[in-house]
Amino acid sequence: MDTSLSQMLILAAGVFSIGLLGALTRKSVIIVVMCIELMFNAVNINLVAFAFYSGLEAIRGQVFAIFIMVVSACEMGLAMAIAILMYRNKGTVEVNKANLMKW
Amino acid sequence: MQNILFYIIAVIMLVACWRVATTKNLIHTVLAAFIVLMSTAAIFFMLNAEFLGVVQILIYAGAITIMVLFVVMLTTAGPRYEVTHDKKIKPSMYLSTIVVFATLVFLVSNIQWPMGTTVLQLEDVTETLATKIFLEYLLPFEIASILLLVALVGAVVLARKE
Repeated sequence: MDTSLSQMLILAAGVFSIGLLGALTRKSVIIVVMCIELMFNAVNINLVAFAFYSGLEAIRGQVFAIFIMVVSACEMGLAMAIAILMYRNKGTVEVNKANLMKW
Repeated sequence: MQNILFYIIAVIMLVACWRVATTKNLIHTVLAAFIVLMSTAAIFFMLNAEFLGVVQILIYAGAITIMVLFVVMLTTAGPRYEVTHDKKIKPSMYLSTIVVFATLVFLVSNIQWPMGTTVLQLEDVTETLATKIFLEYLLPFEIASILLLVALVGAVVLARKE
């Protein structure tokens, strides 16, 4: 028996939810960004699964997945630069220590 | 056969995901993320997206994981450094995650997705992808390259010493 679309979508939903849990609970900026990266990955799995299961003209899903990869690579590079900057200025990368603009 | 393979990959992926979300050792977290990214590439190969699978291995599992490892080692007090969880607001976080997951599963299993008559054929996926990108999506492609350049310059400007 071959895999179906819903199996892929539920797997992606699981990855997305666990990534969300990590992004909410972790304190290190680096790991929060890493978990957001996992959520991007879940979205990519969804797009590729839709491209696969809906036939010939749907390779646009893979094109979109490429653009998502580009954007998340940009986001990752900038976030790592900000993490280094934050460590240099505050001596820590924990998110609850970054409360300078908290009212 | 394909189904069994899918379940093996899915279990590996979800366990590694859970390790990313909960392990306290930062280096172990990044290595678990590496496993998740590699199994995502395996899923891509299963879905006839061989170009995306290779890109996933090269960029995510290779470059980004190494970069994150570098940043972890540059910014924390050694690999034994542990980040604590915030105990007080944790149940609400679990609750919201469970709500999101339940909603997603409910939607996935209840919506009638528009299915094609055939699945994507194997032979010329990469060729078709290239044609699409360089003819139909050329302008977004160029904008994406400018975005990458801007992000590169911005990262250098942010992270260099004054």
